[in-house]
Amino acid sequence: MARINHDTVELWQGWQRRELRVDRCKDCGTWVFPPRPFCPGCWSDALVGTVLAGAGRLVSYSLPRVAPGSPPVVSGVVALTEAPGVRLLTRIVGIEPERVTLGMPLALGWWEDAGGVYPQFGPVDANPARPPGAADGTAGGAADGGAGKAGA
Amino acid sequence: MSGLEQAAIVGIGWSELARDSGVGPGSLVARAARAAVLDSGVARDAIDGVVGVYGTDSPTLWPGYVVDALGLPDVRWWDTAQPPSVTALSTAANAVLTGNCDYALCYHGKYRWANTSVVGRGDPLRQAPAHEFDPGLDHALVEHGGSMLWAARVMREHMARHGSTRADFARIAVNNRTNAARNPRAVFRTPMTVEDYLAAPMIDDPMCLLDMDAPIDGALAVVVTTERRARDLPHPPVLVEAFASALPERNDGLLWPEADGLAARRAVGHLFARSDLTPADIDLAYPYDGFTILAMLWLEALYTGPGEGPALLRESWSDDEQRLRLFGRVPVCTHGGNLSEGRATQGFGSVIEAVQQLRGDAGERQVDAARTAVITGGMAGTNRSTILVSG
Repeated sequence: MARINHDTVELWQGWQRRELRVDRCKDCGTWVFPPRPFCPGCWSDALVGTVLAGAGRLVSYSLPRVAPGSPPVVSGVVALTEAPGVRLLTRIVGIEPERVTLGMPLALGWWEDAGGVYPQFGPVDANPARPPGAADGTAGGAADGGAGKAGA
Repeated sequence: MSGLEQAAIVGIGWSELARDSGVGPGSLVARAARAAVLDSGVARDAIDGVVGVYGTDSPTLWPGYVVDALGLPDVRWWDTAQPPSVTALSTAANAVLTGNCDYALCYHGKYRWANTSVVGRGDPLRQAPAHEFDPGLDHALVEHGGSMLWAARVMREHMARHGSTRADFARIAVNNRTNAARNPRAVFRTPMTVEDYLAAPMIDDPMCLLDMDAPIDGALAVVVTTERRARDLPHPPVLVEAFASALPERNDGLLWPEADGLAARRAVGHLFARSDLTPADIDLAYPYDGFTILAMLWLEALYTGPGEGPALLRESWSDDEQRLRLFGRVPVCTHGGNLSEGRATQGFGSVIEAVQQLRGDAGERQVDAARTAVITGGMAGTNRSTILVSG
């Protein structure tokens, strides 16, 4: 699971509260992620943590080999539309692999396992307040794999 | 290139490359290094520089170990470099050109550690590396995403954006395997077809088993000196015409699948800006092929616009020969590349092969009148490329 160190602990703690927090430069507006010591745009130290709703689009994905009989895993790169230049590598859940398309809009959810709570993304469903895998805050995603029906 | 003196490769050597060598990593490097010094004709006692690839997963490849193992009496310069191995070659070339040493031994080795191979894990004599491989801060944040195999997403992005197909990537894999049949160093020499490629198991869809190099045991080495000193040695020297790298603003392929193509294009631009040669002057192409998608991106950077690699490969494909000949002339990875020699080589196999070709010493693989070679190395964040020419 994620290794946590002095530079990433606040981010990880935010995930445990189901908050996707990304730094933004107070001086030039650049979004900064993964965490960096200062703004790579203007070198300002004034970075402000900003909680995002988590709208995104799929940049690319792959389907890593899984044990026979296990549900498929979709491993995707997601660009956050609220924060240009910020991307996450996450699991894409709530959609059959055959239906995944590059550029598709995605919504943030959370995936919980023994190691902690992690962001994941799924298709924007009929009720955007209820992204897949995040409905009740219990484990979704990897365990039941993204094999669920989108919007069902 | 400019009027400066050039560095020259004067000796080459390698250990056995094998899935299971039955010896430790230090033995592999020492054997490759000894072979390179013997090939060069340089007296052992004259080797005064040692430069090696010293990855975090290869702890016994420290230059001091090599000095001890070879009994080098008076080394006055050492340095290390990360893969790809052309980085070590450039470090050695710079060392002889600045005069920090006269004759630099330069090596690269790789070993199937317990953490890099299932078989390795089952062998109690393959100790875990001293430093657990740590992909670093950014990777640590994203590894729960499921797959660290960033290149699979690079391949997907290429297919989606440019319409490339698995059959396009198959041409790279089959070309290399066809060439490997004539390379006694290669680990994977059994001929294969496009159909074999298409039937191979998926590892990280769209990437299949035959899109990637496999971990092996092995080491390779060269001896580098100045062009002037090279003239007094037995082999015709192979001159190092130019080096270059490119680190674009974004270098993490896990998050930026487009970074590798951009880095390749910039690196090729920087490389040929250092030479009077152009890509059209190159006789032998060695695009880095740790993954077929990387070879595709390097070939596009060398010869076409973005996304035009598949068309180049289709036009360059010989069904009779089961291999590529770019523009009807330029062969690709005449030794079979990393895909055939294995991940011990990380680009250094291309250096060894290019030297053999440019010396006119490549046996049944020899390409007539080959005088120039381009070797591209690595990907975004860790690339270095070189042009080698017959001296």
